[in-house]
Amino acid sequence: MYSGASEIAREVDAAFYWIGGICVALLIGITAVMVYFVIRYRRARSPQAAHIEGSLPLEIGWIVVPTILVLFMFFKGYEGFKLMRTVPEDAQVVEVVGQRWFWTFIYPEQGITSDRLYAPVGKPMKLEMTAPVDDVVHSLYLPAFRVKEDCVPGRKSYLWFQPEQEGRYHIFCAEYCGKDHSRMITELVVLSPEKYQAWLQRKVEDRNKPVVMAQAMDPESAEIKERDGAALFKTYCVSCHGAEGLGGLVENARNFTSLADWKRSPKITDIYRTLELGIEGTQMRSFSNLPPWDRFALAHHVAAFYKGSDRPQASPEEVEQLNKDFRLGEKQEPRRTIPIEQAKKAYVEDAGGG
Amino acid sequence: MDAAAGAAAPNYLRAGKGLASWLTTTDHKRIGILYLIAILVFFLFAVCLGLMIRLELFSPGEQFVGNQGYNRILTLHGITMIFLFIIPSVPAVFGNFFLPIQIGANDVSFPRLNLASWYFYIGGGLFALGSVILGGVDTGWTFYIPYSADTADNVYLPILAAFILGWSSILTGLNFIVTVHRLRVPSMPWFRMPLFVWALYATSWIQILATPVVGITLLLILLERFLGIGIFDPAKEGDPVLYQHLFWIYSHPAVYIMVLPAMGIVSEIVPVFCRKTIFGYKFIAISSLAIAGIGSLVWGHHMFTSGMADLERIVFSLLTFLVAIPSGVKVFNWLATMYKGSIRLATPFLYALAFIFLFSVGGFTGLLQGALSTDIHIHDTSFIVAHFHYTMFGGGGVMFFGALHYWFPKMFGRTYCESVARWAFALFFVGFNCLYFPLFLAGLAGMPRRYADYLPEYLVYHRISSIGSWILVAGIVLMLANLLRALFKGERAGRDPWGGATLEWTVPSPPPTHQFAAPPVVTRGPYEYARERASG
Repeated sequence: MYSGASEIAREVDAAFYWIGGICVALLIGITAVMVYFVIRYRRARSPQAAHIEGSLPLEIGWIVVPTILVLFMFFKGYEGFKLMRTVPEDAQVVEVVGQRWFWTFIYPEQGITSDRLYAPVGKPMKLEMTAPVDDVVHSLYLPAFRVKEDCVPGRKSYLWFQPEQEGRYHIFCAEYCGKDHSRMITELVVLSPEKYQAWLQRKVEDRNKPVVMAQAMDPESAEIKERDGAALFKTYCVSCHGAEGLGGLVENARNFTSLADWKRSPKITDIYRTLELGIEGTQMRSFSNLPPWDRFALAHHVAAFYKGSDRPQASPEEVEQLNKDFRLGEKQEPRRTIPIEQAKKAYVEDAGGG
Repeated sequence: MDAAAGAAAPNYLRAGKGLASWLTTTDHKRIGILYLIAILVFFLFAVCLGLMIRLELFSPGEQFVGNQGYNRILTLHGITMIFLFIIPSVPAVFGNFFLPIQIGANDVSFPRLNLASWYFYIGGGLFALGSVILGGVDTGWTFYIPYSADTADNVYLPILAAFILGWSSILTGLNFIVTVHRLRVPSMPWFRMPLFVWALYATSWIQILATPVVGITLLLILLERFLGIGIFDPAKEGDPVLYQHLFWIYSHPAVYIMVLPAMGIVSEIVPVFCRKTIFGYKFIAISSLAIAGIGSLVWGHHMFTSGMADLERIVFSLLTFLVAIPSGVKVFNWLATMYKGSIRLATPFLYALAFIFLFSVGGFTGLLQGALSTDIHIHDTSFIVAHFHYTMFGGGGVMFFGALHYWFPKMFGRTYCESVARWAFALFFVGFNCLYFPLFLAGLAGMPRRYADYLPEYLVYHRISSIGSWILVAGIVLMLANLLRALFKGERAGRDPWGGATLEWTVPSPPPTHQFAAPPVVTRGPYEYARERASG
């Protein structure tokens, strides 16, 4: 087991030692008595059994004593639980969305999102969690901090923890959620307060950075090259579309190596549009929480799965339309809300407008 | 052998010839045998699935079935083991066979309904197998909403399977309750009933009260899937947590359906092999009812991380701890029965000892899950998988095989090879602990359950566990081979090979179709050996 990484973890571990200790002692006692009786009263040594029908004092004893013990155990469990549910007032809120099969951590004050949870040393962190109404139940589990709570579609839940030292800790999905449940793993990155501020700053700048369409549309431009489209693809896309881009790993997941039957079109502009809006009625989500430059890098990575040279190119008018539709040339607005709700709204507006 | 009685009336195995005579039988003993065959087939099928799970987890990364394949195997393993093996196992096989005999009756109250229950069971089993042919289903045996309403797999088949199996369970429970009330011989008042009958009686009440809840809930999933009624669907303001409540209102009491009859068998075997009356008869009898009662009020402990209100979690935690008390009462009374006994360490008794140990491990680890703060950490980890297998397989499963060894001479009139049976037991016991104990440690270290793949740091636990699965299976194969051989080549068993005092040991082995020509007269308690020795 990990060593206690927080006050909650120490409290829970203490309960483990108390309850586990009593249980192990009782188990050893019961087993030892059982083995002793079997040896001591084996037929060779004890040919004639005594006649004993019972004993009221003994029965009362082994009802009353265990009752006291289990009430003590209940109390030990309750103590740690109370601490878990009492969030300090100065806690920083991070919103969490669990989706098949990745996590999104939203920092509402800064309006940024991340696929990893970042936290500064010494600050209580409150996670406010949910899942989109068209997704399934997930459960965020931080073993090192002994905390876990389900992300239920359409409901809000919370947990909190306070990291005490820098490091990286596993985050698992603990509630079975289908095909890639066992890959729904990310990490908590605990940084010093200075490094954490620097990380936030970098994320905010990245989000704010206006898009220059000429560079965004060019896979060879420096702005696209500096982003890791392959890593983004691995985090968000590979579960359904596969490492080779062949699709089909969930129902209707598109094959990127073919130009046939795209819901929108295989042009970069339309791939971007799908990343912004998702595709209604399918598991294809909106990824509008990603910075626009990341989405362009991802669109180029997706497009590169098709090896032919006859991929249709977006006309200058279409590029300009995309720019106008999503105001890409302006400073980007912070994304405060849960991406999926925003995506659905955007989709409805889009359909109405078109 | 009691040749005179055997010659007077053919035993139940020879009472009619041909498959048709078996498939239309209303003899409770034959129906018990029909269940035994079917249940063993499903059990071995699910064991193979379990082996595949352990092979996939032998190393991290994708081995041979892939994520979706793993999820389907895991689901089918769960559905088959729970609905087709462990829930019906002891009541349907040994309950059917021995409950009427133990209370001096010639059959259950509704023999034809009893046969209908078997057909419901087979029908449900075929639906479950049908889902395999159609590609499998990946929801887990819990069918959690919204996943089960959303998955592309054919959920309706296993759900209908569970629904039909529920009917089988309800009808059997009803039959047993009526039988115990109406067909007990007049000379057997309640507190002279064997403890196995007490345990089945308590179990039957859970079966008829809780099973309808899951039946209705499963139908609601189908309505949700096909008609979109929105009772659970969050997109229509339904509540997925409501499903979890309804599911566990049945499925927690169901674990007592799985383990109470097993406890009843322990209460039979321990006094027989200690040659000593059971210690605290009334306390053991009443504790069965207490477990059935309190056990119906603790379902919420499956949902401590589901987003229930904090107060609900606290209340369910407290109630959960209380259900430990009657289980403890049983264990302490069994131990006290051994005190100053005259113990014969035969195979059935070994299984009973294994039950006490394995079920204690399962019970004590259950206390860590009943406590709120510790459960939050181990909930949905492999700790739960280990706990569940220790209580259900180490409890219900082990005593199914214990009962098979205990009553085999009575059911088939032959005895098995004792030394092979002990070797098989030893393999079984070692393999069992090797398979499941490491999963406690993996769970404490944070290994989530239902993972087709795992991080390399959990390798050592999974490796040992997978090796344990091979030892366990070797034990099961050896045990069944030994029994199969005994069926044809075993020595003839007498009326009462163990020296038992309950009524089944007064009739020939195997019993004739009508085991009691005249109602027997019960003049002593079910475990009074001392007086027997004094008089004879």
